[in-house]
Amino acid sequence: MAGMDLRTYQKKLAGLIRGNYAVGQADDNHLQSVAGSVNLEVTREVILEWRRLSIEHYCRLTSGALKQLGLFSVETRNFPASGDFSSYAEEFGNDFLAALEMHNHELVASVAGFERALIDIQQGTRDQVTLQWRHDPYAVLDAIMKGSGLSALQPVNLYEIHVGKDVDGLFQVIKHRDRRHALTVVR
Amino acid sequence: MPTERAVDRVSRLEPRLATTYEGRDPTLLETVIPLVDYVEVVPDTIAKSIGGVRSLSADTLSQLRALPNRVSIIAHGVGLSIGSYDAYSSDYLHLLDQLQSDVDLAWHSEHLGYTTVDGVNLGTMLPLPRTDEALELVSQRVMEIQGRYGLPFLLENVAHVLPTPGQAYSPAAFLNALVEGTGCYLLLDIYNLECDVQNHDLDLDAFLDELNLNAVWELHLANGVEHRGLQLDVHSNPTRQSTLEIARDVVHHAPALRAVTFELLSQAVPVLGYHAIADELRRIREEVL
Repeated sequence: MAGMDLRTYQKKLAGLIRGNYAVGQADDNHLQSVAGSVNLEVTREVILEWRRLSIEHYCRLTSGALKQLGLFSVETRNFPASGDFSSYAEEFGNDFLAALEMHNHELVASVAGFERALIDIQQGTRDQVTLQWRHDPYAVLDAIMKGSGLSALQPVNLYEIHVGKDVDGLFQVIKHRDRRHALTVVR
Repeated sequence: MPTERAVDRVSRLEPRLATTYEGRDPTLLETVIPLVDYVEVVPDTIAKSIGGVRSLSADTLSQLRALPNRVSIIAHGVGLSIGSYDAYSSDYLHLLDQLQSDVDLAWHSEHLGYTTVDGVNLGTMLPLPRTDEALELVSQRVMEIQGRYGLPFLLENVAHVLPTPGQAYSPAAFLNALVEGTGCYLLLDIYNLECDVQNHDLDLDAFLDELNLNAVWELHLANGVEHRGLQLDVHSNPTRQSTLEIARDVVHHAPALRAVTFELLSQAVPVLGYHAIADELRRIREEVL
């Protein structure tokens, strides 16, 4: 790094790791060698693996759903698009779940919203959350726990899930039998 | 060689055994406590962020306060990022403040590297280039930290995965210069040195010959995995015999050494099992201390 100060060196190295800096002719031999190295690829792989471990640990339900739907790899690789993620699992995990609540796959969005609500209630950052699903929540949770069957589930009804610290078991599912009739408590 | 360093005035002590604890596993703590003299906690890993408020886990602090008197507590950071060109982490220092106010710390340590650039988390730890500028930057920060906490402060060698640039100092000379300029101590990670041997052809004998072993206060022993020809520092396995042999040699030549610490990632605990972890601690005590 002859002639390069610490600031420049660290910024360029960080850019290489994040993939948002491309070495040019003005860069020294060291940076050129880093850019084309297996070592850089391994560094990126290690970072991604730690991120995945953190997500799997913090977002167990959503990770299970993503894996069954074949989306875990792509969603963890792409998040966060900015490359700026907190070292705190609670912050990073919350950001991940919040982003997936907007996912275009309905089941992913539903499970992420539910898991985020459960965590928030347990942490005391929200008192009560109401969610609406079109899939049977118990069938979804059962499939996630079993590790199979999720992709076969179809929307069957409208369900409301009440998540709250005062709810027995933290959540309650209410099923709409018919839009013209009263709600039925499933469990 | 430094002449006025505190370490030169201390008599040789018998090093003790330590292991890491990341919280959330009281059974692990119960398993290791009868076998060790120190518990090493990483403030970052026992911290939580709830509703935007970052603080240490009350449960883990309670477990640490309940440790028997014969077991001392060491703090070992990963999030200080002492080598970031822009700033080190005030967030980490707040966690360390909280830990120090809650339990008695024997000493504390951090890695000689950086985890953030422009305040953005890299997701990994990188070693510093061994230049005068980096030496001056870290030395100033070490002095600030020593003044803030009044405890022995140790810096740990980081494993290199990325190729290193041309350097103004050899690996040992850079550490020696830090010690000489600041009076800090060294945490020598034996496994990280083995990673550097494999990944970048570090001459280990020359390194140890050149290093000021009077400043080595603690050793870290760990094991990781090999991936695509590179040895990675992930603390996921029992130590290799080669690691113990190097450690045993250093123990005999490091008069200020206080502790030999077995590092294990919390995710590896259920894989190895409590029984195997206890066996590993007994093995290290028998073969290294």
